[in-house]
Amino acid sequence: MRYFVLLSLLGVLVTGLSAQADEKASSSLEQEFDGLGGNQALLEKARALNPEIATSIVQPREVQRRMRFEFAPEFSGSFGGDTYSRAHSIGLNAQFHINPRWSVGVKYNHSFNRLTAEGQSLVDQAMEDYQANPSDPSARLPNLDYPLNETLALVNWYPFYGKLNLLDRAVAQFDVYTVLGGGSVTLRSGTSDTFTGGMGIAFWMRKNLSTRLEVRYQRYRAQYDSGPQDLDVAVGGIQVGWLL
Amino acid sequence: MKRRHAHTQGMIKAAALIMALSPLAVHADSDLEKLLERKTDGVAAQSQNGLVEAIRQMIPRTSPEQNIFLRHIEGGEYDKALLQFSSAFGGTQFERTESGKAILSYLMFKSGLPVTGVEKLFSAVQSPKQLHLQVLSLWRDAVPSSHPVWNSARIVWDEKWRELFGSAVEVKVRTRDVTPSRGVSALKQLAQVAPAGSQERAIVDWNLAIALSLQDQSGEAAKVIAQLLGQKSAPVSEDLMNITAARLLFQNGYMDAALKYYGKVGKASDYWAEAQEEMGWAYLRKGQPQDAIATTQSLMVPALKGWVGPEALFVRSVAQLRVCDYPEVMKTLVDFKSRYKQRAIDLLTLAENPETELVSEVFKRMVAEDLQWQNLGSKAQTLPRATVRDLRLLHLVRSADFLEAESKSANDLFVKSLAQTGLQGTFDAIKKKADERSRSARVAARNRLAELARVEVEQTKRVLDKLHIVEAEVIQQVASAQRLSDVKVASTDVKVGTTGSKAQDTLRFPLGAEVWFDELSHFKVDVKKGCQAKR
Repeated sequence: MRYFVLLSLLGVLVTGLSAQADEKASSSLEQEFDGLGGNQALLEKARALNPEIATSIVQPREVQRRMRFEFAPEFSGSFGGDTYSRAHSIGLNAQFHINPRWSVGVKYNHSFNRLTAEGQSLVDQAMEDYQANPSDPSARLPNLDYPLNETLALVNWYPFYGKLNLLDRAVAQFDVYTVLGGGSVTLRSGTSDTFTGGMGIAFWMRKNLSTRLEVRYQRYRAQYDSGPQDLDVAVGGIQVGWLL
Repeated sequence: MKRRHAHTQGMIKAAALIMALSPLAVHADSDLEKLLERKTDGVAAQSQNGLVEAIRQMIPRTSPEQNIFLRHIEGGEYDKALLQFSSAFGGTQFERTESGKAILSYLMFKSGLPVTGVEKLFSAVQSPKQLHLQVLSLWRDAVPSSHPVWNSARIVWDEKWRELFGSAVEVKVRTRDVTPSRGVSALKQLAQVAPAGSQERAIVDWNLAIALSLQDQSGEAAKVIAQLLGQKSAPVSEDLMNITAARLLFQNGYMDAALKYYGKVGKASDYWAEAQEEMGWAYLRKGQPQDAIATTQSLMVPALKGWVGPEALFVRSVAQLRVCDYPEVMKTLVDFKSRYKQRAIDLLTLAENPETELVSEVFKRMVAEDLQWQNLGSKAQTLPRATVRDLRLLHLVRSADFLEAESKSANDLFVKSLAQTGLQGTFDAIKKKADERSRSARVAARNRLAELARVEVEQTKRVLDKLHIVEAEVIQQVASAQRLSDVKVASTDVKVGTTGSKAQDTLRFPLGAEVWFDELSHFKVDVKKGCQAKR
């Protein structure tokens, strides 16, 4: 029994000493850490010799765009221009990227036209008038000239770039670009020369995949009963492209 | 009529009883049963029947107890067969034959005691050549070289087992404890035995490469690593091989080549942080402190805290000191304190007591998956950095789990033995041994983790001491700042960084407070006025 008590006391003593040693080691470590870098006065003096250091981030482009082709189907819609009709188009773009700053390409659009509410109202009035007085209708149908298709040659310049955080799941690089071009548009009345200029944003989603949102101004000459008239049209479109 | 029918039934029963007790009847009965139930023979059934056939060949006339034993084998009830073994064969000549011992070991193996079974086989069977061909084949099929039992069983390999298990198992067993400390010649000898292109050969070669580099035979080591890098069966991750190749090149002063190999370590790798840190040293050696600052910039991201070693901050502070960026040196020192003070204390606590819930959870995950550091999340902050990539720890943890399963099986067998045959000393002993082995493997795993924690604390302390020297150097240099400002410098010292992307087309962004992970390891630092006074 006496031995048991002695052994127990010895055990408690050893455990106590060991715990004390642990605490000592831990507190000495803390002290060593506390003594590091706490000199504020030194920091103030150090600023006198502050060198000029510029840190920047230099990243590769996710999509290499040198001597590369991009094909992009497009859906677009027009605003302005003819008061009585609106055109929606589907088309195909082919771009050749000379380098990340410049690309040249062609665009072909096929248009689908519909009457605006105003145009539809005039047509309805004319129909009513015709039904009321078929021999001598006085109300006239609206004078329309709308695009059927167009072919454009384009030059794109990409002056700005950036990155987009997609909900912390991925990062997409993008380029903001300007577009300038010209070509011909086939109207109901015949063919007319056209020119266009605008800007867009191209997201490079994958090594081969791009998405472009583009807005551009376009002018062409339409033929009306009253004579030719220059139409100013705004076109907004979305393209999803594949890079070869 | 009724009485006659009862009499006939009694005759049938008696005949059935006689047939059941007859050795020949067992065979016929089992065949009959199969025919009646249209049972198809699968691989398992084939091996069971093969074993029964083998025993029949060795014992032409079986006793009723032996017949019961054979019925258990036929039914795939190995645990029952194991419990029946001593009743069936205890004290017989068969029990003392090599095949008898091998069959008993096989039953243990199949009853959830793989380690005990294999160990018993290796200790009891003296001459594997005398084993019945069927028994040989059973063992060979049961324990291929990929079986985890080879990692846990304590066996001494002898050449006589090569014929039974093949050279792949031999190398597996012999390379189990292979470390570079075994020496170059021993490893070269082992490499000759291992089949070319096998995983085992790759492990031997890998250790040989490390042993060669430790003996300053870098050229030879590089050759071995280059060979391994081109192989499909890699002994370790490709990133570890790349960082090792880079270290060899660094050690021999080929800084540019070393940087190339460090650069091959991907961001997703557990070795990426170390590779970046060592790249910093390589740039410093090349006299490009601005690039060392840029490289270590990636490691300063708060989210990587706990993953990045203290040495990274040391190399950063030295590089900053080289360009006289004293405020940033001071910032790095303060950063070191905030990152590693609490961590060192936590690791010290862990080293003293590794019996924590977190450790148990991490060990469980190490068994279940190939754990990556990033998968641990915030839990990683209080664990040694080497936890997930220390092969010894991984081996111990998986071994402990394997032995724990064996311990449970031993316990089940012990309980069954009590119910079936009364107290059986053998199963009690097996149970106790399995318990002890499992416990000691668990303790060894925790001790290994504690050792890793201690090593990391020691490393942190060493870096802390070095940083105190850096601070002293800053004090000394700042004291002479006034004198330096009076010195007229003819030209401006410009150090243009060479880090960041080397691609033909790059994107440049200014460094902001927000961290984007795609930007890591793409930093570039230009120093315009290093060690010149402001004017």
